[in-house]
Parts: sequence; structure tokens; C-alpha cells
Amino acid sequence: MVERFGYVGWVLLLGGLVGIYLLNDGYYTTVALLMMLWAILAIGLNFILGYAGYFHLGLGAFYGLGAYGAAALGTKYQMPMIVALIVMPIAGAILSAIIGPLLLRTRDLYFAVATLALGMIISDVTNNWVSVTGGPIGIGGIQRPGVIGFGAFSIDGRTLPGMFIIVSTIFVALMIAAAIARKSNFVLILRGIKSDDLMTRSFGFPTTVYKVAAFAIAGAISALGGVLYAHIVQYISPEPFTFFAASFQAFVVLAVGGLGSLWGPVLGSVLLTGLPEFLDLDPHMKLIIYGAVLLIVTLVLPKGLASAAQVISRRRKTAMKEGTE
Amino acid sequence: MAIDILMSNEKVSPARAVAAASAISCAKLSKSFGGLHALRDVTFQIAPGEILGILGPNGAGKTTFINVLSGMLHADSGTVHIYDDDVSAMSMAHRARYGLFRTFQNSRSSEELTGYELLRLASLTPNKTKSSKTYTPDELLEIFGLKRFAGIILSDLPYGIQKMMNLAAVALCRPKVLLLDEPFQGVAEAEIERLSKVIRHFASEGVAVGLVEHNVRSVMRLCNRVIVLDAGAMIFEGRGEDAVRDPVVQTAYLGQRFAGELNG
Ligand SMILES: Nc1ncnc2c1ncn2[C@@H]1O[C@H](COP(=O)(O)OP(=O)(O)OP(=O)(O)O)[C@@H](O)[C@H]1O
Ligand SMILES: [Mg+2]
Repeated sequence: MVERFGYVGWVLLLGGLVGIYLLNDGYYTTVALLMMLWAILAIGLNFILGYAGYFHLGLGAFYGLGAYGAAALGTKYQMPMIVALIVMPIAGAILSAIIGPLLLRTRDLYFAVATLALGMIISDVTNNWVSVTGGPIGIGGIQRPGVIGFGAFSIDGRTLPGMFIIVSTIFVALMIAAAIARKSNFVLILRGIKSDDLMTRSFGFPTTVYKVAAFAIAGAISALGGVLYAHIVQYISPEPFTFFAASFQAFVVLAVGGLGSLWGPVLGSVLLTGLPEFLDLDPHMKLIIYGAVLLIVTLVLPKGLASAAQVISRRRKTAMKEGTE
Repeated sequence: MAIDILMSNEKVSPARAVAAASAISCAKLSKSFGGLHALRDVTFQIAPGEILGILGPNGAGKTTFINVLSGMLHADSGTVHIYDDDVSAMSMAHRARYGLFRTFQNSRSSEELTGYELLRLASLTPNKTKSSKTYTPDELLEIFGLKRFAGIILSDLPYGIQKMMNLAAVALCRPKVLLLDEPFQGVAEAEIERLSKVIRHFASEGVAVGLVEHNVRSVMRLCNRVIVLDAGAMIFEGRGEDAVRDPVVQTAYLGQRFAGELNG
């Protein structure tokens, strides 16, 4: 399915990013930034849910960790954004590697509930540990990076277009990494685990290690998303990291786009982040739309939007066959 | 060729076989579930290149035996050796590094992988033992006659073909010891012939095979030596023909397929 979409996807992605940059419209730029953020979370979720088959419903915890960590590093310690970009994904991975072995001992519904609880704990902490997180009021005044580069090739990180270039660069790099990972032996082993954990173990793979690795990658990428969020919005509060605001939406974006696919996270995010923004929906309406879209896609395209090309071409083939017979 | 190897192992006494580097051996292996003794003090070994039949009526403990040997379940007591290495404390994944592989009685269909992907996964095995010959997924698809099924999602394949794919997958893992739990169950007669050839072929390359099978005719054709389990205990060890005539074995099988098939 990805092979067929192939380079068309990359052309559309790069063309879209360049187009939005040239358009230089604050609103479209912001929406595109949001789309990339959701796609990033979905890319992270893809490792543990799409490939390994574990329902991680606590992504918001790592997203929040990245954002609050970035805010603390920036405002309390006056660290530049690059520090948070390096430190927080590592922190996300380490936290995952510590709690992963405990959580991943459970399966299916138990794992989902355990990660859900994790997300709730973090939500509670962000709300109540006022001295560190600012409580419900949050943390403001997060500084974006200054001027990067020289002369004509410099970008001003303080401006929205500058931020857009930074986020786009990171996003494209992440997409390339995801594309390489998807073809890797590591992901094949994860898919083996999703398919049959016991059999994969019988082939000699210590599956828990692989699952924890997938969980840690999801945690690291989510934390990366959080760091970017904090620097885009420059103000954070507990709300965006709660279950419905973060973990659930990331799940819907990935499920609608296509679990285990490369372009699913992008397609899902374009549809689900773009649409409600342009239609200017309030949050409650948005959740209803998400639910409806998820329901429709699950029924019509169980493997997500990314499989649409495959499904259509198969239908056409059968239609042609029927025509000739 | 495989038969020669079997003949030469046939008369080896258990004690000597262990000394003469059996590929896999276990001593006084026991496992119980709650109060149920699924395995009682089983001692046995398979020599390199030997195909050992593991027989027994339903619920005799054959699958449990394979589960414990492969490390999927931990034994309550007893030891397991692969060649000279004591693997008793190791997990299933760890034992695979020593060349021990197994298949599962209930073929596990997957909506995730195609046949080819399954074989590619198996070929990535961290098995660190050196094997005389390493096959590629394509070669094994050829050997097993599965080429035309390679691109299909496993769960869309007929049950028998899925079992053959699983067997091809473990064959790819460069096994030194292969434990097969009812590999012919659900497989078409013509394919059983082919699988038997493949199993013989691997034995001829020195792989020790433990074959659990209800299809007694296939066992008789493949194995010179069999063991019979009943209620978790080993009640017979010796030639297949003798097992059929053994009164203890006949009693264990009373009323079951085995006796009927063999007497008739
Ligand atoms: N995980 C388990 N927990 C509890 N009891 C078990 C478990 N596995 C097997 N048993 C019991 O152990 C006994 C031996 O079962 P096992 O599956 O090993 O028999 P088998 O010889 O493979 O039978 P079959 O020919 O039907 O496959 C049975 O009584 C079974 O119910
Ligand atoms: Mg069994």
C-alpha cells in the first residue's frame, strides 16, 4: 500500500510544506504545525500499537512530559530549545524503559487500562504539583529559538515562519526515519509479536525486550512532540495533555490513517486536524466528529485511509475481471 | 541416507547415547498443574539425525513435554541439555539460541504477516549455533512447495498450508533440535508425504527431531524409535513395531484410535 503511494507521498508532503511556507499565512501555518504535531504523536503510537499491537492509551503522559520538561528547561534554566529537543525524548525513552517491563507484562485490555491510568496520573500531577507545573494556570513565557544560521540562509526561530521551518525539518527527518524503520528487521519482529508473541519467542526473540523498545520509541517521539508543542504555543497548561485531548486523539488519527502504515499518521492528521480547524468546530463538536469519522473509516476501510489506494485498485481489478467474463 | 542414520542409533543404550553427545536429553523431567501430574520423571534423549516418535493417547502429556523441553513452561524438576549445554534454567527464546526449535499443535493464523514475511522473520533468528547449511526463505518455499502461497496473509491460507508454513519457518531457524507437535494434523495426505520427506531431509543433515503425532502410520514410516507417554509417565521406549505389541501400551490406548489402526 505504501509502495504504491511511494514517492507521490513524499512529493505531496514536501510540496505541501513548501507551499504553506510560501503562502506565509499565519493561520494556515499554525494549522499545518498542528497537523505535524498530531502526525508526530501518531508516528510514535504506530510503533507500539501499529506494529507491536499494544493499545497504548497513555501517550498524553509522554507528550506532557516533553512539553513540561521543555517549559522547565526553557523558563527555569534558560536552556535553548535544542537542549529540550535532545533531553526530553531521552527522558521519555528512559521513563518508558523503566515502566515498560511492568506494563507490558499485561496484555490487551489490561495494557490499555494500565496506560490509561498512567495518563491520568500525569494529568493529575500537572494539575496539582503547582510549584513545578504551575497547576491549572500552567507555565507561560517559553522562549522560541533565536536566529539560526548566517545571512541569507538564516531563519528566525522567534517568528512563526521560522518555527515552521524548524518543525518541518524535524518532521521530514522523522518521516524518513519512520520509513526506514518500517522496512527494518526490528519492525518485522514487532509485527511478529503482534501476530503471535509465543511463536516469535519460539524463534528465539526475547519479545519483552522488543516490546519495551517499541514502547520507549513511542515515548521518545511523543516527548519530542511535546517539546515542539511547548515552543510553538509558548504556553502550556494541563488541558492539552489529558486523555481526550491527547492520547485518544492520537489513537483516532492513527486508526483513521491506518495502523502500521507509513502515511497513515499524515493522512489521519490532515483529515482530523485540518477538517475541524477549517470548519472552526468547538472541542465538543470535534470529539463527535472524531468518533463519527473513526466509526465510518473502521467500517469502510478497516485498515485506514492509507489502504484506500489498495482497496480501490483491488475493486477496479475485480470490476475489470467481471467485465471481461 | 536418513534411514542409515536411524539404524545406527537404534541400538544405542540411553546412558551411552547421552555420553555420545545426544542432541537433546532430559533427566527426570516433571511438571504438574495444580494436583495434575502432566509429566512424571521423564528421561530421554534424541541423537543427532534421529527422528524420535513421541506417542501417547489424548491428554498423555505430549504437548506438555514439548512445552517443558522448549522452555515455554518451566519444569518443576529435572534437567534439559542441548548437546553439552545445560539449558534447564533458560527461557524458550534463550534455548532457541542453542538451536532448539519447536512448532505448535494449534497452528496460529495471523492477519498480520504473509507467508513470506513469516519466513523472513524466522530467518532473523538469533540462533547462534553453526549449522552445516543455511537456507534462504525462497529455497525453503521451493523445498516445501509453498511458493505460490508466499504472498498471501497467513490467516487467509488453508489450515494445512498454514501448518506447512510454520514448519518451513522453524526449518529456516537452522535448528539442531526440532520438536514438532502434530505437524500432520489437518494436512492433506499428499502433503504429508512431502512433509515427511522434508523432515527426513533435515534429519539427514544431522537435526534431531522429536515428532509428536497421532497419525501412527506416518510415525512408523519416519521413526525407528518411539517413546510412549501415558498420564505423564514414559511407559515405553523402543522400536515402533514393538510398541504396538506391548501390552502396557495397548492398555493405555484402550479404545483409542491407535490400537484400532494398528491391529487392523
Ligand atoms: N497449561 C495447563 N494448565 C493446566 N493443565 C494443563 C495445561 N496444559 C496441559 N494441561 C493438562 O495436562 C494434561 C496433558 O495435556 P497435554 O496437552 O500435554 O496432552 P497431549 O498428550 O498433548 O494431548 P493431545 O493428544 O490431546 O494433544 C491434560 O490433562 C491437560 O488438561
Ligand atoms: Mg497435544
